[in-house]
Amino acid sequence: MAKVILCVGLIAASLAGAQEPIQEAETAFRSGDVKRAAALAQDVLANDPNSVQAHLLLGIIASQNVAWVSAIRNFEAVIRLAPSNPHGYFYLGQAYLYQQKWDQAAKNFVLALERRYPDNQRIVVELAFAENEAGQPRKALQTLASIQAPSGPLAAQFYAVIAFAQGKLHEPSLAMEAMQRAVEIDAVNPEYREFIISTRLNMNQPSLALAEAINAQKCFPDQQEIQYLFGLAGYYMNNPSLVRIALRNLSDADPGSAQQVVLLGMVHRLEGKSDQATSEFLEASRRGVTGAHLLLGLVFKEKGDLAGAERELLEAERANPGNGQVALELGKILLGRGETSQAALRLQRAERCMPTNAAVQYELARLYNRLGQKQKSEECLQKFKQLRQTDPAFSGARQ
Amino acid sequence: MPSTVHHQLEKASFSRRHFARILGGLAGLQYPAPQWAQGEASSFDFSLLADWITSNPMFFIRHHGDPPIETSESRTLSIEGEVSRKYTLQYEELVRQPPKTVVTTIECVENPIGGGLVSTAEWTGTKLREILERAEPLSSARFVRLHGSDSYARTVPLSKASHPDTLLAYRMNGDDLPSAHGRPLRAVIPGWYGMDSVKWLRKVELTAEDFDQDYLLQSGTRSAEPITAMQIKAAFARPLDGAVIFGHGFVVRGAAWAGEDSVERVELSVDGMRSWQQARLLDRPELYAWVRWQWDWQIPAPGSYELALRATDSRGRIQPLERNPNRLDSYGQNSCQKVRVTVVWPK
Repeated sequence: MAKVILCVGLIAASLAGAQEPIQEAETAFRSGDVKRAAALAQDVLANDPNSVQAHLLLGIIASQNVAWVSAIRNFEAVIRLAPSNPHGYFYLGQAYLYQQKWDQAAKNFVLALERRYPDNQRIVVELAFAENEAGQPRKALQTLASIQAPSGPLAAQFYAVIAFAQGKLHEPSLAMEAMQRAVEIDAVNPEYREFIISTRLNMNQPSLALAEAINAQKCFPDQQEIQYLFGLAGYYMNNPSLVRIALRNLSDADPGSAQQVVLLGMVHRLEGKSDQATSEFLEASRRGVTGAHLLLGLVFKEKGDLAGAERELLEAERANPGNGQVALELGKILLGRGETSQAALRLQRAERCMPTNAAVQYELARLYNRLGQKQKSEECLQKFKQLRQTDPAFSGARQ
Repeated sequence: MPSTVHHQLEKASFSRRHFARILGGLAGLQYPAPQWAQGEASSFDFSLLADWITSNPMFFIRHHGDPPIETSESRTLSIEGEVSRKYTLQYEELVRQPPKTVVTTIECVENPIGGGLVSTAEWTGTKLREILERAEPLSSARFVRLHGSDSYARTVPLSKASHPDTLLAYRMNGDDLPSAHGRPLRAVIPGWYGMDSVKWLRKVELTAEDFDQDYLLQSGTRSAEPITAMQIKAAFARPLDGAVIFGHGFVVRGAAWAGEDSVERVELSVDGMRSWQQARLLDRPELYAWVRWQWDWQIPAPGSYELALRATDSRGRIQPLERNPNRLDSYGQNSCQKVRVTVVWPK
């Protein structure tokens, strides 16, 4: 909100010849009387349909009300009426960003930048965020490299976007390093903590993930994703008590959440109640929790139902092709069936996603051995032997 | 091998919430690091309070040195002092006595407000009274000094030592006593601060004098009153100080305990202690053991709140709002716990 008000102030300062009624509307907006501000801006537009300030203010108000059609119409009007004004592009970019239309967001941020949007650091961070989400992590990192690390709250976002991009590039250590810096600057952003817990899990560090999750759930006691990750970390540490606590916390926060069903399935699975676990995971997948497909795949595999396991894992793969665990499990099944080329595709992807995972190296060693590539097989076996010393999966944590 | 299963769940919502945070400007709030009392090996993490009984790995640990190395000698207990019949008891003989089980909360006397130097376990052992009676105490015997093999010792009145619930415990929550909790044998003085429940017990000495009086009054900086039973006290499990809450409602949870009494009532205030709302007790109040409680907080508006907590015991003793300013020591702290939280309702 502070930023929006600041920008309105900047607009007011930058646009010469502002009429009195629009100034009144901006004053009402700044004082928090959004309804009156909107009404006054509408009055201005009734008299002058080409009022840039009125369109901009109405667009910002619509954005705050999550009324995207109206917001976009007003920002597009600003761009049409004042094509050299960067603010229309900036706010249009934000409207697209919020709707996860990453390419359109990035395009408008670039246009705002070209028109010298005054808060250069802010727009660069948001542009990089959009680029990364649009699947261009390298470009995002290049964009961020064009500015000095900002100070204040924006600095946390700067490092967070670096972390997201490094995460997409399968550089978990660099991602962690950047996100730790973000947390040092802004310790009360749950998303940053979620990223750290997730990355720890992906890096095969469930005990560190759990320690982080326990601290995060204290700071954000009703934040659902944090509680879910807390439960997940407890699950990978074979601790049903902790999963139950996460389940209770999740239930306190939202009694109807589908994630609870997954956690309940995990508790059952840890307690050896495979049928109940299957039933909960099936219910979770029916309720659209895509992560349940991987768990179902694992349960079916345990039961010896390889066809069922493969079906669920393929479903999980469709939902998230970048999931290393899914790739590993699929690779194992395909390798077992002798489909070496399909297995290779999955296992090599698993290696990219989880470079420190010992089991991936073991399966790759098997694959290359099957393919007659003895030297590569031996290399993977050596890596496996090295990695398993520090791999929690080989020291009691859940596989 | 950990999976990335959650990624696909969180990714879609992540960006939206991230952006909301950009607009909302959460930055600037500070989450304080927990401050524990010095010297403990581990604290119970109240945010993980779920069951009435604290599991052995989660039970707090506090002692004066490293756990002593267990030898054959440490499996004997000598009973001596102001008695007609000194004797030595083998551990194996002791565990053949009729067992008694007591659930009791143990709190370290230095546990700060909201601190985790408190836990609850089910202790099984032999009644100390039976061991004392076998030694035929002399009429001069008024106290019992409990000696651990780590050279730590504490004195309790004979009346408390002879209470039928006072145990020489060898089991904790159904398992053999873990080393950190006093294996093979410890005293369990129900309702009293943990300092009297001496671990690694080697000697029970009946005395005419209270050796601990000097300890309690040393340097004149501590309360002149002997510190014995735990005070009425309550603690938050969630939310904890500095938490950020996003919901319009929140289930506040915690525990309360009352030493040798039982908890009667737990109340919370969110308006600077002007008014108090009664929490629901989740366990039947019993002597010695904590009760878990919960309170459904309907949050009226976003902003900063201070939640205050107080408990009342079955004798009507109520937690003080503030610590007695005349107390110069840090023992037996039981004033009301207050936590500050920030409620944010993202647009």
